[in-house]
Amino acid sequence: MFLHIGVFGSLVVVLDFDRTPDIAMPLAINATLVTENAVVIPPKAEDPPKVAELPPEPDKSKQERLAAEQQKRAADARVERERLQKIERAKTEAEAEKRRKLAEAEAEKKRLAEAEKKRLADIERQRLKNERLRKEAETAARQQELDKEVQRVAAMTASAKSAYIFAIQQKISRNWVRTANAALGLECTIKVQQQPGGEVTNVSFGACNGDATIQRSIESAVYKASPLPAPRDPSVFDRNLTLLFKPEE
Amino acid sequence: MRTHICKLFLLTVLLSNAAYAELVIQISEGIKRRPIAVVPFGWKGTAAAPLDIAKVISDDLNRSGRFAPLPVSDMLQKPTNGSDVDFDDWSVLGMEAVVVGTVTQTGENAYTVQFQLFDVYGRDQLVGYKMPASRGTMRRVAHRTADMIYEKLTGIKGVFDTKVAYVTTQPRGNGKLFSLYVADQDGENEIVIMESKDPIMSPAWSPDSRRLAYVSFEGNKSSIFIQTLRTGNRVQVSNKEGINGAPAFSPDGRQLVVTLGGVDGNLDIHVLDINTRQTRRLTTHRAIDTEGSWSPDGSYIYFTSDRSGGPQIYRVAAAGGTPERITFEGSYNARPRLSPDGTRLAMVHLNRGNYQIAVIDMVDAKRRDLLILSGGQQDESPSFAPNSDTLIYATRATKNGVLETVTADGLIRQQLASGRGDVREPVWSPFQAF
Repeated sequence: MFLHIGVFGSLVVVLDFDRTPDIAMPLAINATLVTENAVVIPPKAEDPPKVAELPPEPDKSKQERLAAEQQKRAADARVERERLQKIERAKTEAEAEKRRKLAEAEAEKKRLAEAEKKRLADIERQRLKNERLRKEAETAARQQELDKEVQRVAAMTASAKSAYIFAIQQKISRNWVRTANAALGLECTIKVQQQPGGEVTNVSFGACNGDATIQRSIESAVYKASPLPAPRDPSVFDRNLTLLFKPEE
Repeated sequence: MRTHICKLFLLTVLLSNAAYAELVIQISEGIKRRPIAVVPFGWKGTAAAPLDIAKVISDDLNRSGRFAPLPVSDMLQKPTNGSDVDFDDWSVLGMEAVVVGTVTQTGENAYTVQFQLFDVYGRDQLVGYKMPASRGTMRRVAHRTADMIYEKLTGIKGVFDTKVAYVTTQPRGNGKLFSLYVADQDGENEIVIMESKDPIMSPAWSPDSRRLAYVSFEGNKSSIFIQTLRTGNRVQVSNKEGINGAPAFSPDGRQLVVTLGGVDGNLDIHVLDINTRQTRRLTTHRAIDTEGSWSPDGSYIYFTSDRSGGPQIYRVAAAGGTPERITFEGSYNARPRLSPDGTRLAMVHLNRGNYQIAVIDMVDAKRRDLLILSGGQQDESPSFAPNSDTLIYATRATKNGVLETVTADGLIRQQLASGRGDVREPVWSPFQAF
């Protein structure tokens, strides 16, 4: 029984340890992804300068040229602005992404910690369960031992009681003076009251086929036998005894 | 020394009722014999198994009066291994316990005896052992197994692996032949220790159960010998003028308490140092002081004295002092023997004209309740088994002495009838070293 619980417990623990590498795997994959994203971003930020290298328009008039120049400056400024804005945006986005990744990593770390905590909790729960099962099995075994002990004690008490009654009957019998009219089939139930020291305080008769003379002889035998013998096992002492008086011959 | 083929015929009689002249006990709880199955042991070896171990165990348990072994013919299955025991089958038969086992031959004269005791109700093993054995020790291993089973189921130490010494008298020519025997407690392996045409008396075991002290009247004069069982070597330790009698070993085995008569014939208790042969006189009363025996702790010597008129039990400190009277009930109490646990004093007690074995409860010194254990007219020589639970004594059947055992509570009494003449003075051995 214990062996079984032990084997079962160790199986559970082994299974838990087997699961650990599965949980660790996703962490490695995520880390690779973070690196790839970071590489993709820079080329996007270098696109705008290519726009600025377009060939200039032919000269028409100063006005037109000026206007055109102004327009071009304005356009350049816009492009530049847009470029800066784009860079800025890319930077912000990259930062956001970085923050997001960080948060994600943080979350993953947290999730792993949670998982680890759960795993430990599971192991602990299993341990407690095993402990409980073991204790229950122990209690059951102890109870069984106890039951057996109770049976044994009951058997011994029965024997101790028999020995006690035997000793009392014998002492009464030793003190009995057979009356002339005591017949062969004499059989009397006597009820004896005694004090803890064995002193007889009362004698009465149950079923008895002897006459008054015989009953008196038995009664006097009981008083002569006082104090009655003490039992070897004090737990079988009884103040009120019912004894059978049945002499032979 | 020679082994007799003639065995003791064992009669197992549960006598708690019949023998009491005055009384029939009717106790509802009673002493119930517990049903047990001792399955014939399996045998793995060449030729035939050297001994039916299960039968020896079964007979032991049956003779204890506390078990009713199931006849082999009633068994529904005969497993020889614990894993083959079907508890339902034994439960149906009302068995409380099952014993299974196997004897395996491991060499020319080497065997392994393996047994398991199962509780049918609890469906589990209570005890199981594997023991090496030879053809010579096989029977003892069987008795040891019975002891373990008995102790596990009753809480009382088993005494199946013990011995009994006793004296027999048989007619021989115009005279008699006296023999001192030692046998297993079941009557097997009976061995003559000493034979003589002159009386042999008062055997006593040494505490290590290797030696016997006894009184021999060879040369028409009493003297005390100590004989080593294994070698047969014997030494005369007391050959003083007058009577040399009633030896008993001290608990340390170094001294004997003896009764010496001396020149004037006044029997008194003396302590004899076995090594130096020096004696120390413990009683000086002009009455008869005899049959000394030690308390288990060695502090007192109990003895019989008629200093008060009739024989009564007294005790005196082993170091010396004033004797103190122990028995007061009845006109005759003699041959005191304390139980090894010191809680009971056994003696021969005169009860309405019959000499019977009685015990006094020594636990409560103020009460000292007396209980008569035997039911004969001439019962003698009570001797406790080393577990303090059972006694052996001699009783008269017709004109010959036979041996009986009785539990110290008086509830289980059994007779060991012998094929040989008059059997007397049984003494139970201490526990044996294996």
